Amino acid sequence: MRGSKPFWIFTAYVLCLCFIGVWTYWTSIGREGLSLSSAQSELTGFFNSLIIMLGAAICVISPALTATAIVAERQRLSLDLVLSAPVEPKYLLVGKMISSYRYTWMLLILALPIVAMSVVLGGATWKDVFSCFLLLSFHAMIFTSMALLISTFVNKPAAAVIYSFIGVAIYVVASSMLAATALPFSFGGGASTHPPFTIALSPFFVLQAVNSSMLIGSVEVPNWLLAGVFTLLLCRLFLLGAAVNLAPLDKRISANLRLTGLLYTFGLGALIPYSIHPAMPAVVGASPELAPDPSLYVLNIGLGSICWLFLGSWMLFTYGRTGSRRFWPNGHFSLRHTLDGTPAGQLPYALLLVGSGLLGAYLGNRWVGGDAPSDSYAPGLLWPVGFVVLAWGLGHLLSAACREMKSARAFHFCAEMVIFFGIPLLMSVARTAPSWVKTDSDMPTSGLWYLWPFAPLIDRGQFWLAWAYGVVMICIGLWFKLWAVNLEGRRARELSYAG
Amino acid sequence: MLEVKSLRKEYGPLTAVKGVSFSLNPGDIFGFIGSNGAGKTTTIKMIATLLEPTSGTAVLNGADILGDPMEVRRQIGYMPDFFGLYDEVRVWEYLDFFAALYRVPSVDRPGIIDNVLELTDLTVKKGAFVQSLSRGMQQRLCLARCLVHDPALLLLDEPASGLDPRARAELKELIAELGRMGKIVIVSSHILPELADFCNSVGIIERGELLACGPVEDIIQSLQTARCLMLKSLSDPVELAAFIERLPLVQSARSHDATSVAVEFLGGLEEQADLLDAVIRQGYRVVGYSEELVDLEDVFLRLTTGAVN
Repeated sequence: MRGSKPFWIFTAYVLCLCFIGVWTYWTSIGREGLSLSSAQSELTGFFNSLIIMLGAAICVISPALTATAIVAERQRLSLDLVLSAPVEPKYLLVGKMISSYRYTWMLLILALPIVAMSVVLGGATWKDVFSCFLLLSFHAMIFTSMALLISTFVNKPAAAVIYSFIGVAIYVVASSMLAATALPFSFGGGASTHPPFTIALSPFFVLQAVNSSMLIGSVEVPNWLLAGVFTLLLCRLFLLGAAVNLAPLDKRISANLRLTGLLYTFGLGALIPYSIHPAMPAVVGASPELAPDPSLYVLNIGLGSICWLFLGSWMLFTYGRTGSRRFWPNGHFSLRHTLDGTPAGQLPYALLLVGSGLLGAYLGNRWVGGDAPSDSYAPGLLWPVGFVVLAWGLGHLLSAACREMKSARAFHFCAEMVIFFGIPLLMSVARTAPSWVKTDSDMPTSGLWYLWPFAPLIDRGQFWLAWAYGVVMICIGLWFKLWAVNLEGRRARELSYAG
Repeated sequence: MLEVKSLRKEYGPLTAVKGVSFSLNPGDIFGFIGSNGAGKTTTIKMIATLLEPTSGTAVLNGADILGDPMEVRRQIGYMPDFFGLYDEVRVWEYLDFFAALYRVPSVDRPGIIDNVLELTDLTVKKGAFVQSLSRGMQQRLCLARCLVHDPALLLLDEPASGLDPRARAELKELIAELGRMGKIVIVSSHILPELADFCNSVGIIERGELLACGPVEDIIQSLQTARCLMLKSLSDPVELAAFIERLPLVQSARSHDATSVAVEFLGGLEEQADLLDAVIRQGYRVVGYSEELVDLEDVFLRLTTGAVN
């Protein structure tokens, strides 16, 4: 920003904060006849409201400032000029990120005099202020990198801003739900009074997270530190994704992103049994006999870890009919292409991803002292394989049927939404329950639930069901793939005839 | 030296560039001619390392576009057919930014910026905002941007499009000057007469195939089987054409207008003199004699069919 514009924007921001500060002061602390303890309490409330307001401001301002960073370059056609220079995408992205991130820090610094009022008057300490600012800056970093990622794959600045806000909203809702589940620990509701670091992941739980710490083994680790590590890992993932979008032909970046995905899936698989198993039954007040069977985690957490694959498969398994050769089918299944992002490497990579999630869950479970899974679970492992093959076949079919990659992705996303929500929606409208649910109510049960591919995830005891679903999904996936090959051949013949 | 070896680009069943090969030496100005969609920009983008070739490669001073793209990028200046200018940036800041991208040491940058501004005749606009420049000036600024790191190869994609005649003439002179400075320049353009003026070699591309490549004169020579002579006389052109057609080495002769006869002649300069001598001896009163030269546009039209991918 150049000229007088930033001056007026920042002045308006400070005036806004001053107004809120003065208004809050006169309606609470400034009242006559207030006791000292009441004044202290009001000041703490004043500080809390300021921090929540700053959290909200960051949710809005960080993505708004960053979302147009790359898409604007693309629109003014200067991106090719930059990419034709000997500059690696990571430097470009980090530069863009620093450029946007410094404005977020400027907003925090400009808010400092107002926040300092509550320190001077006794509502908070400087440690509280700086810890809150640190956590807020972590969130701003996540939003900035997320907006940067979105900026690399949309074509219009307005769309980039809208998608960034949607992305931030999804993150805020998900992280707030995670933080809310961690909150009871602080009140002594869990097996331990130390809340997990997930409490520090939401910008609206900064105040609860600021002085908390998590027990790792016997070591008490501050949650802000773990949130910082999480932030860096998430930013790395977002920036790698952005770099792949910027330089799709750079096989090193593609490989780096995919290896990072494998490591993160392994880490998630290992972390979930560790963080949930010992404490969660106490938090929800469940009786010990209802405490999860550790061996069940091996399958269920493994299956759960590919849920994100379900959400992301519309990007992973599609390829375009225009653009670079990278997006053209270069085979059906090739281990050699596992990490380079080409269509031939999609299935082996997705299977590796599932494998790493399952391995992580298994090792995590063993680490917390869980029992080894019995042989009866082995057939259930066919479910994730079937799920992956189904999503892969569907992606290839839609890629072959659509001319543009965007259309293929959109249809894939819609198809998966129908698969995921279709049956539950239908059944909830019909007010029926799955046949395996023992309900005391007069709600009728229905076997139609078994048409839902995710039924084995809920009906955990039925491993034969997971096996059967796995086989069926593999068959459907392969059928889709054959259909795609047929379509591609026909289209190629049409094009060569037209040429 | 630039060596382009069987560069090929496929988009599925569509082949945008079909094994283009040529080589250029320092000081060469290569005109890349082709209709829209012929494959010029795709070829240039592949040399600029912005597109991955399906097969083939290009080597610039020992650096391969596939094996060492960063080194290639250090040695090229790429000017696309659009400006790509930043708003609210001054001319010198724009050049300084790109000089930094090309890792030009910060102490050398002011001097280099002054030099390229002088070369492109933009010194007086050094402190101006880029959006305030005229189209011709913006074009020259883009060229100046390509020069900040002293590249060995300049890739200029339609550099003269949208320029007025004066700006076009200035740009032409500037490109010729760059050739004299020992840089390899590849220029793609639709405006063929201007390419013929300063290019010492050309490549004609259609549907991704390089139909002809080499020095302009050689290409014209190879296509021109007969010279086209124009005789202007005070005699009856039909009668004169009939007489000329009977002379040796004459392929055809026809009256062009009320005073002129067009002759397609297979001989050289000696034979041309003999033909003129024979016409005058016969009593025809010749008042004008000239050879109609084939230009690049004729060559292009003869070689290409107008088909696109």
